[in-house]
Amino acid sequence: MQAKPDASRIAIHAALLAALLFFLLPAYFAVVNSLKPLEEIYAGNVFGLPQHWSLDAWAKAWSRACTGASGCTGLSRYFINSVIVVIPTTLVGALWGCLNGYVLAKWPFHRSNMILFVLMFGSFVPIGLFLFPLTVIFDRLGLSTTLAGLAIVYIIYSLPCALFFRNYFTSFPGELIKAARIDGAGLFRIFWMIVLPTARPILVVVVIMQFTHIWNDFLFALVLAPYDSQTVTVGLNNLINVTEERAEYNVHMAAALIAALPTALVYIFAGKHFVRGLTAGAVKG
Amino acid sequence: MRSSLFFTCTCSALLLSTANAPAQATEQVEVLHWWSTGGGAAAVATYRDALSKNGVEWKDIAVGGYENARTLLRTRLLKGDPPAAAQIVSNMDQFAADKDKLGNLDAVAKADKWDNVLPPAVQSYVKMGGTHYVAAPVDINRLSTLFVSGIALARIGASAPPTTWDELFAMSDKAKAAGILPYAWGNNQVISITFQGVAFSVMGPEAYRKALLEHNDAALKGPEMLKALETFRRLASYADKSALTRRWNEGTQSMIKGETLFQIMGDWAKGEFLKAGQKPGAEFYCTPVPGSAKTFLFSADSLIFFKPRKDNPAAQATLARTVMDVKNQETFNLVKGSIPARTDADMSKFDDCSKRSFNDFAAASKSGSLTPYPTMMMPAGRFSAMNDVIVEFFGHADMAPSVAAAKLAQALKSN
Amino acid sequence: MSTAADIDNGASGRRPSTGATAGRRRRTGWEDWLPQLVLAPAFVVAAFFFYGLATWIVAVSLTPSKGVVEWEWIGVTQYLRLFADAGWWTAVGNMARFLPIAILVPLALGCVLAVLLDQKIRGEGALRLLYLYPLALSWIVAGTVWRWILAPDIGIESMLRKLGFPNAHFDWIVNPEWSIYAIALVAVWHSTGFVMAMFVAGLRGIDDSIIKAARIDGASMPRVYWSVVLPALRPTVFSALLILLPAMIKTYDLVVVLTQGGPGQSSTLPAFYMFDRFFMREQMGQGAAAGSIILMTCIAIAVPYIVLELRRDRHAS
Repeated sequence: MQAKPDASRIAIHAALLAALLFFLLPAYFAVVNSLKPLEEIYAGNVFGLPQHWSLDAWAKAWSRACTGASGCTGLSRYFINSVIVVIPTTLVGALWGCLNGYVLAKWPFHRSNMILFVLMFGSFVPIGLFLFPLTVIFDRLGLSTTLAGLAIVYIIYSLPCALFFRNYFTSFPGELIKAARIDGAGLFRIFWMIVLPTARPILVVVVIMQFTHIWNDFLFALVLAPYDSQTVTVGLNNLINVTEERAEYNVHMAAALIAALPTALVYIFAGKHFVRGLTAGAVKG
Repeated sequence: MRSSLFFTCTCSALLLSTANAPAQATEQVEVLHWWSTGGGAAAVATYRDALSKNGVEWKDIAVGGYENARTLLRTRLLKGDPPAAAQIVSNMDQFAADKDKLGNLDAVAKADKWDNVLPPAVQSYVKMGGTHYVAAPVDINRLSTLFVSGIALARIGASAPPTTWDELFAMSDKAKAAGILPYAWGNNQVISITFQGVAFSVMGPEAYRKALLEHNDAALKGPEMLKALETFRRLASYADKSALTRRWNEGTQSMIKGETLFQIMGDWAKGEFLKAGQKPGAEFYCTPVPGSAKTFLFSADSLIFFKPRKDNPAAQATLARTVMDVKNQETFNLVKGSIPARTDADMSKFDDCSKRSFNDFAAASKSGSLTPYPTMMMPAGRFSAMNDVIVEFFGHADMAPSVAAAKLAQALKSN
Repeated sequence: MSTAADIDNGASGRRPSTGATAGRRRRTGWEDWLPQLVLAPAFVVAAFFFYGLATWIVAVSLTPSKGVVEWEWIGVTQYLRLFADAGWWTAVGNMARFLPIAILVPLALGCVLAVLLDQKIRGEGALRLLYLYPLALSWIVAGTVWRWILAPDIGIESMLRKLGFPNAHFDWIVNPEWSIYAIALVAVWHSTGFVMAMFVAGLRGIDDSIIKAARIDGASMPRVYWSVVLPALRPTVFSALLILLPAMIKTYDLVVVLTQGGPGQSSTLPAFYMFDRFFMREQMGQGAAAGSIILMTCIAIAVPYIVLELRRDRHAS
């Protein structure tokens, strides 16, 4: 442990703090406004601290807000549906991508780069435009307005994440795999025993990306999920997207913060896996 | 880690495969709309209760945002599974190609004598091709409403809302001098609604209809249109720098505090004043835009009926009958804050703004000056193209009204 | 010599014919095809659901479709209408101004933040989370709050003026010349955290021994970062670009909640134009034409870069 000069540590902390202010600004206002009664916001207190602190907006967003005429139960009823869809989808998509990326990186064959291109350009395609044909296709498959159909669509459109795994594995030292192959291990065995455990950093990144993307998706969830089992994003939109009604900003902020909680939890959980030296240790040992 | 992974995946797969709604025993109709929260959702709940008293279950499909609801409706129509009814406030022609997918309400309309209680202008909206009823109108919104802040009015020493544009501008100048924002300008939606209100009142129903609804070239470039654009330009000169970042309700909130004087908005803005405890005729005024006292620019939220996959015409007929029932419609509009579409409605429980609006509605119908709002009569693309021109005119103070009129004509023709 | 080394070096897979694996030549033929088999589902699915449907979009762009698809062929009329629309060119011009900022700033900022966080900071985990959360917050609410922050009369400009700078200006969001930069600002806010996370992952993957060796040679920490760490992060930069580029090109929600494309149409972007025409304005043919153009441009620009990077991968390690 070297003694670092104080000045550079201070500079580092100052820089991180400045960045933090920039990133936190909207969250601060969202939180602060969610703790005010609506009248205060309408009276003009948009950026200040609440004069009357109140958790009412949070309670309303969770259990009392109206999201349609079939009962005013807030966001609570949507959570289970989002969880059912998003967790397996993220995991299956990430694992499939990991497998594809690993094969593309470590088991190349004559035209494997072509598949790479195919996947790469897939990420540029604006899939929202595919809403209409997808609706018809899934209807004919008998999967329209089912959570399973929605999950399948998400998994399909998470294919391009194989690229990140592929990039990660190309710079991945090959000695381990060489050793395993000499020992007679096949493609899948190597994947299960060697690749998966050491792919944690990239898995974490991809899981963060996929979970966020799928949790926040609106258009596909609106059209492909059953009306009784809608996701949180759709419920949130019902709450917030108003043209002729008054905008209850405090409830909106609380609702959006509630909707963002699972994703934040995923970030916390994923962060535990940002462990240093994982690959270094594996190669050496 | 891997075994818990496997466990999660299996459980989720099981849950996914059983996550469909079980079949219903009672008759059910799906109704798609965008009254997803607030007064609108509460109003829809009254319809739902009324329908269940008639033995049919209202399956509510609420989608926040008019465009999202429309996208959902389109996808459902595309795969051949439309809802029993859907809210519509845009032009009916978009469904002309799907005529065979539309429900026919003629039987109910005849039995309940809709022709007698709906004004001709509303009838022509809900009838496809002017002959068959395909939709039932549930409310009327007045788009030519001028809201005036009573507090601001008092601050400039006036006691009544303006009845002419000259009066309005005189009051605006006084307000500006007193440090009050004369007009509640806002984002593109506010600009669009303001223009339509100004154009309707300055041009009068005849010229307005010819120009904006029938796209008559002479009317589009004629003196009435130019006068409307000039009036709009003059009103725009009161816009403050931040106007474009504001939603309409933020402008209304400013009026409630007495910091802004005027706002032209649909009559739904009234709800903000009422919720703040202000009374019409005292702390705020709702009056027709100057020059449109005897005329009426309206939009009619309606339910358009389709043939769903599980066709149940009897339940649909009950739905149509229920939403058009005069008592049900009164309750719906009382909760929602708009006015009923039926001319025989009893307005005694409504507030003064609504009462007056309803009287004007009936009078305008008799005099033939009941005019539909353009979104009801033209494709979405054309209306957006028109808005593009108006917003450009608003943002460029050096654009001459004649140039704007020419661009308007061009936009309406080529979209 | 060793086939495993062949494979690691990216040469096309060949049947092993020497040394250690000679004893295992009698494999069943299908095992040689295992990589292809494993990738086949992904390939088939991608071919249909990405490219098949993209072809559908191109097909729609050749029709007069408005609110519904009408299968009538009108050639390139929609493209001509697109090119004649000043709004489209505004969107394209905006993309040229927006994209460099929206890509380079998060890359640089994310990298710097990751490097700073790498300095054994206390509370690093919490900081990481706080930089990441913008990704989690719904656009509708983030947009509303940013709208308030950027509004001159109540936001930053008014705050600066209250702090004693009477001529302070921060009215990007209502200024037609600058509105696109307001959008870029919020885009940077949104995506920097994720880029930072990628760089953190990349930094974790760098072998500690290399760094230690450089330090032992007497290099200072900044020098070590510049000469050793940053070059080693090249694959991470490429991965971050692979995420940022498509994401920024597809920017849509942000425009909707922040400015609706305003003032006027000064802050529109191509993807916003595309969705607006396709869904909102019910002009599917024109929206599809815009989408096709966007896609073709992406392919035209991305191809050389990607081919270069892939060649580099092949020759490296």
